[in-house]
Amino acid sequence: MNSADYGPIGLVVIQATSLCNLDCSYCYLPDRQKRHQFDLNQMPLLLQRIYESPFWGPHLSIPWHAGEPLTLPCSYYDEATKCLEKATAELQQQGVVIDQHIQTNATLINDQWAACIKRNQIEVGVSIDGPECIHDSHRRFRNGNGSHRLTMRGIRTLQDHGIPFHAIAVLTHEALDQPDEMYEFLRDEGIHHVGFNVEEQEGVHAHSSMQGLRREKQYREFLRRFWRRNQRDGFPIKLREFDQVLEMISVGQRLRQNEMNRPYSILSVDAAGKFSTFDPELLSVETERYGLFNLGNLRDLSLEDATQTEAFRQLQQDMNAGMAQCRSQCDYYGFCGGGTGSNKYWEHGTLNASETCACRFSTKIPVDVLLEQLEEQSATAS
Amino acid sequence: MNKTTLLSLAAALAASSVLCESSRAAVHSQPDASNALEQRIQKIDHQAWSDLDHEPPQTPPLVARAWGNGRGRAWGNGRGRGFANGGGGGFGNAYRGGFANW
Repeated sequence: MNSADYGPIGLVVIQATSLCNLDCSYCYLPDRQKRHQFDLNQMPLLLQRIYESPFWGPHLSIPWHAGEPLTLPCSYYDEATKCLEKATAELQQQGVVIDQHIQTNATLINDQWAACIKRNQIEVGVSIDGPECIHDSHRRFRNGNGSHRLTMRGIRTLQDHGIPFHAIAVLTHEALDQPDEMYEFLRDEGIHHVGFNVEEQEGVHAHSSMQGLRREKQYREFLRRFWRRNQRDGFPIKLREFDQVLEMISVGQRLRQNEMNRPYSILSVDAAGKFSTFDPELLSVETERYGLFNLGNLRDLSLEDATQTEAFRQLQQDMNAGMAQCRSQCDYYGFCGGGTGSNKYWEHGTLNASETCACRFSTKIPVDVLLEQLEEQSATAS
Repeated sequence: MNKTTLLSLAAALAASSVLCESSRAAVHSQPDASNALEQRIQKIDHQAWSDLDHEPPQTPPLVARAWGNGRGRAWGNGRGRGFANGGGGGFGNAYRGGFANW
């Protein structure tokens, strides 16, 4: 094993709980109505597995994810912080950085949660799809009621407490005809760091409303309009899709790989202690071709030994073959680094595949729109 | 966790640093000047970049920047793309941010 082909582990996704209090129509998680919980007694073992391996790095981010993390009590995260501090004190004193994150629907955020987030120094991402009519068309409680009002209450609580956050908006077809409404909503609500996740066909969500040439054309128009509105106001909104491309151009760096296809850049652990690498979306998903995608349980297997398993070898072989296809076929490779296995699997049934609908929405179209806009500005400047 | 002496910790940190450097080299590349997109980027006027408050394209720095942002999780260090369909997850450390559909 050549350790330069792995890691370093920069992201450990832990499924604190599988339960979500919402039942969004596009969600890919199969067990979101069940209350499986990650036992914090497993935390020392998890950290041991990471730091005994040759894959660890100087900065570790731990998102509590794959379920609504705030359906657990505040005390859970107080305890998690204590576990982390106790198990990694020496490493942190020597400069290793470990931080925690949550991605939340914000419906449960109140003053107590705000205090918990602050004292545990947890970074926050909020999932909000836009104005009420767009958001509530998919993000609903199990009784059918929309969640927008409570999400906005949570956002205002974060703002009142001075807690910074980013937002992720899942773009469905409803949003595409309303770029102005989307832009004005985000601007006026003070939501200034935004990522658009275009609805994907994934997991138990077998069909997406965002497929086909018509939708791609609509998304181009949407992004163009969003850019122009943002530009007119002096770019108050940092849109991830443009920012990450701008950053790469700015420093003259392109990608050979990305975190989702490089083993042990990401480690994902489910509530039972089973772990996987590559995309977090692959964790504990049962498939005909690859089984569960899991490499083993923390109790039984080290991260290094997991690379010797047949399951890992097949995943790695197909992932590499798929990346090679992308590299030989796609002009956008440097901005993408070879795509993501979950999208390849859900769209093509194998990791050994190249272009996906998801990569057109997440990479190709944003790059095209950004370059068009810069070329227009360039022509005007000269 | 196993007991760690300061000496063994220093050795581990040094090994981690070597791993990170070799990983960066494996992950990053320079723009390919023969690529049609790169040729378009080179033609963009510097004024267009400064209007964005962004630096124009540069030659790559001698020391690879942290493996953040790039692609992967947008916005480096924890604020990322987000996992599919609503899963936020991640913008940290280069992950493209995003668990899909969340």
